[in-house]
Amino acid sequence: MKRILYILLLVIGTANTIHAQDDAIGRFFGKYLEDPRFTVVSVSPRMFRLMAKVNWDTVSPDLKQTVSRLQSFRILSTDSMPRAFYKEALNHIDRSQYEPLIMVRGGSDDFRFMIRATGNTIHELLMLAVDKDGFTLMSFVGDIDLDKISRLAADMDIKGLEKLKNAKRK
Amino acid sequence: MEKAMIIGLLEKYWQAETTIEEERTLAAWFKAQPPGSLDPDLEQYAALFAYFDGESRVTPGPGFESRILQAITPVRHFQGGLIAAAATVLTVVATLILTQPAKHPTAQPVAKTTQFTDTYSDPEQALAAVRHALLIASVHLNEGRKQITNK
Repeated sequence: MKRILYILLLVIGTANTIHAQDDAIGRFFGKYLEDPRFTVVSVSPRMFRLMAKVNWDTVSPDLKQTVSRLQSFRILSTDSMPRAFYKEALNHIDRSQYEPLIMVRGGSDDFRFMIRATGNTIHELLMLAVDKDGFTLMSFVGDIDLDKISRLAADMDIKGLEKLKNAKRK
Repeated sequence: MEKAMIIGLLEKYWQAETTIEEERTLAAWFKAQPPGSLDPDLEQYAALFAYFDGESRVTPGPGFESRILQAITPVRHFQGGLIAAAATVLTVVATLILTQPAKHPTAQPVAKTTQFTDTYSDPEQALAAVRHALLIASVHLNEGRKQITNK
């Protein structure tokens, strides 16, 4: 009977680790999903599957490949107390699971990238950005290729980039 | 004469050669003799036949039959089976109860965090949002890399 119990517990445990392949927002910031001070944008694994039916003609091959390997995407952002939430987020993220990739401190404009990886495979790319107007936590879950993501911006002209940079602060 | 016949019958009796009729005669004769009237060599047999006679009259006490039936019906085995069955049912129920709470507290928060409420119902809009976010990430990644190479 004990053995059966152990097997049952093992099965339940394994099931949990499979389900726990969610993003940092779900892991550490679940309480803010219902907080009226925060804006949430989510794209579920189901929606990513539905995207296969979209017309991809105008989409660049790098973007197409990047998106097709994503499983879920979420943004959590707020314009109230951005610095405080940025600090809290940094304290909340489990450093044993997420390793820092890039950190840029530009005085009023800071951002960080963190990744959750097994070996050479990146399962999640997490971006934390803060300036005086807001704090944004962005998470991409799936099979992440950083080089491909880097190339996406190169496809656009400088004007487009500037427009984009300004847009994200709105 | 009578005594000689009895002695003869007794000898046959000890050889196990007497008929049932002859044994009854022996028993009846010894019973008929008044106590203390017999020769000492026959007296010992009188006690023996008196004992046989007494034993033959023993009848079962009240409730004997039901006690015997109770002793031979496999009630005890049946009870043992019932106990074993009850124990099995109990263990199964206990296992279910024990594994249930182990399931719930761990399953619920996971369900909460994995639950995605889609912001967009249109895949095209969702794609546009993901594309926009990827471009922002791309710009920042390049910016960060540039800073690292400049240092």
